[in-house]
Amino acid sequence: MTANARPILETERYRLRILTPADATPRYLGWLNDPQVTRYLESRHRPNGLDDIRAYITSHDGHAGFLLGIFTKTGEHVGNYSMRIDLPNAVGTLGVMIGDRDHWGRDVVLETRAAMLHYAFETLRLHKVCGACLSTNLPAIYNYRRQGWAHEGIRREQAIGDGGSRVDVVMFGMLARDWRQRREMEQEK
Amino acid sequence: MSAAKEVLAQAFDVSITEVPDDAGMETFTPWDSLGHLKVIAAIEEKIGRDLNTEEVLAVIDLASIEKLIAGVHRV
Repeated sequence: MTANARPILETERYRLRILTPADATPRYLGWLNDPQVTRYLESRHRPNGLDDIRAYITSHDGHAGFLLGIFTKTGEHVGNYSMRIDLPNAVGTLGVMIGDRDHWGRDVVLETRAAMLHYAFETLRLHKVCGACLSTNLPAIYNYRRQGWAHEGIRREQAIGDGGSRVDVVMFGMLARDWRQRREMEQEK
Repeated sequence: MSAAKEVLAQAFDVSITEVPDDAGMETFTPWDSLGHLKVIAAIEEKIGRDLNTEEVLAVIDLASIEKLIAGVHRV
């Protein structure tokens, strides 16, 4: 498995690049202190400051972990992808946050995650990428289903959701061969 | 399929005639990630209860909505 430790991924509307500590901005911090943004994220359970963001960024080493920011073509930071890789098994776990609420409902995840999966499978040569979301995160479920991820199971009452109620966590997976087959079918349309 | 079409028409505030026979996540333009909230809410209103996680995961197109309304997917 080889990889450019500083990938730049281009999509039609966005550019994805590795975050550096300089990207720990008040704008980014604002997302983590916005209950609507963190409603479905693990970061809702943690205190967040600029130093915490810098530590989080540097915890991704560009080998077993990648943290890519999602930027508009004009350089506006709108969200992030975190990929943690189980190197011996060539399996990645992908998480996403769209922090800028002005970009919600614009198919940002569908467009940019396709680039992330392409990078994971064709550059990093991973065998599989996993994802998960709270069962109450309906937009995330939509994005996984729409993008063809396999639903691999439900971890019952695994997390604490709104109002302290217990909610399920839904597990998804995408195999490299399924991704390639899906892309071939889309290209034939 | 009319009951499922009614659900999508209600969710997106369109006429039932504007809901195509093959309406699904990939084919019905208003059905995007935020629109999915409206779809699930409309189904729950139609059947008078909340969907469980497996039922939520089943919702991808008209046929799956029809099955839920008919109770086929109920877990």
